[in-house]
Amino acid sequence: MNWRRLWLLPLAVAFVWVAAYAAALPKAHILSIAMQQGALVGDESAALLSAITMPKAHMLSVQVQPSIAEVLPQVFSVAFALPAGHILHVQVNRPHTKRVAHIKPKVKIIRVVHESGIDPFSTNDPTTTCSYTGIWTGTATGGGIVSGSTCTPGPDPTVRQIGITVASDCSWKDGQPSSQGGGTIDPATGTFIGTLPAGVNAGPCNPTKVTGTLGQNSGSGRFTDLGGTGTWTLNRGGTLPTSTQIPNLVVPCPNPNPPRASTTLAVISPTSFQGVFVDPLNASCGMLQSSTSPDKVFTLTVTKSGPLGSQAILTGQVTFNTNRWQVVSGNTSGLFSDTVHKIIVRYIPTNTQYTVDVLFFGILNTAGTTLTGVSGQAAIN
Amino acid sequence: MVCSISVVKAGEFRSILPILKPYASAITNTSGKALKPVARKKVANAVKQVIDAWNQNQLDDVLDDSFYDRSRLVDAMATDVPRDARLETLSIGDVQTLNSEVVDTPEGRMSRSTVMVSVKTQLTFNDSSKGYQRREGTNTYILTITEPAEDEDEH
Repeated sequence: MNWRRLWLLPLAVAFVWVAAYAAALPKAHILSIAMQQGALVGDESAALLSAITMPKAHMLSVQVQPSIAEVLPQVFSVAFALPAGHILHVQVNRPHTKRVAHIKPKVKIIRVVHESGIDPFSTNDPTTTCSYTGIWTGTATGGGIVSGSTCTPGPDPTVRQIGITVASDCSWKDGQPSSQGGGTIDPATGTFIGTLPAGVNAGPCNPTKVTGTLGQNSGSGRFTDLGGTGTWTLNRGGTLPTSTQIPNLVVPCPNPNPPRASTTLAVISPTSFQGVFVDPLNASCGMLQSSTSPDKVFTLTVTKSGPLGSQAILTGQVTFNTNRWQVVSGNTSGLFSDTVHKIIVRYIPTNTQYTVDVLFFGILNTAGTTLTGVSGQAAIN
Repeated sequence: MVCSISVVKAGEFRSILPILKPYASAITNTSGKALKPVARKKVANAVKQVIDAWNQNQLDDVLDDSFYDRSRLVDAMATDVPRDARLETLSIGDVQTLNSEVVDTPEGRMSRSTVMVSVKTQLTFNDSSKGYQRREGTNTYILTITEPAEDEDEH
């Protein structure tokens, strides 16, 4: 034996001791360590340390690999340094994670209000932009054709058949509004086949005025005498419907006489009105009764009450007899966010028989609860 | 540079005149609690879902039962819209939360919000006679967004 190398003995003993200790490390336990259920992501390291049965004195550091942000896969590895500088990788199976799985919000469309250009949700041709102003020629029971329409771009502006749901101005009975009515249009003749709203011949209103509506995004209008010729104006996205299916009638305004206990009631008697919004999507309606004097100009001022910036939509339900009511200025439909909205209309009776006429309008509150009320007045200029 | 600095004369300090603005008012929902507006990004994602459904001709999935003439629109999509038509969002305008409520559903407590969003879209397709077509339109969508409700203490 070379005694001169005896000094290596303690070193060999130390090496054997370290090797024996390393071999005795509880690797098997480490390899099967499971994360505590419900451990918070931010405390992964601490939870892992407490779960590992290895003496913490022999751990210099713990690294989670990959990073915490990438541990969504159920397995990730942990490396910690031993005193000798060896790196031991541990596979940790996470039985479950507390993270809530991402649930995609469910989205539903309730309504689409057409403003300009195309309306991809038009029930007619969603790809066409059209604005129709045509002369409607109808029959006594509604239905008919529109001629002289203009449409750019779109199909040819020739005579088109339209289906019209008809209703009378006095579409209420016994003080209650009626939502009945509707029918179909014969596409060949334009003849309306269906039922008129209940009470169409009752009440104090003139039953010879008929209001038609084509439903959402299709505009509304009104023509004069049954069997006569009137002007029908449609401003909408999409073509005139060629379908003969007519939706049920929508009555825009309640009967003002007697006033109902409805919060949507708005009465002009004869030159002021007010209404309160309850339902965010509810409408407030109003009526303007004309003077018996012809050729009068009214300024219809609609005032919203609500926080600055609240919006309301003056709906396309503004119906008026274009032979007697002429809009001088102001938009009768569309979104307005100004606090005060003015519409100036001129009353021009063409028939002395009709000395009293009404102007219907509806205001749709799209601002929800931020819009608390609407009021207005009509003054004779 | 030093010279140029040296010739600069300090002017008087200007007083700050804040621009007047209205105070934000507390908007409440139907339950009387403060209305928590839906995040704009979330609404944008909702609009994207709608547009994607339009492009994939799967409007049936996103149209609410109360959507006016729902079945007619689905039919029109199948018959009137060119197969290569593509709808894109050009811009998202004003976003406004109309209402918000927490409802109990079989899936758990869900937050259901009604939002109004103005969207400018572009539709492109190839017309057999006129060639490439690009048309724009602006519409206001009223949507309901339903998602898992957050706990009260998280607010």
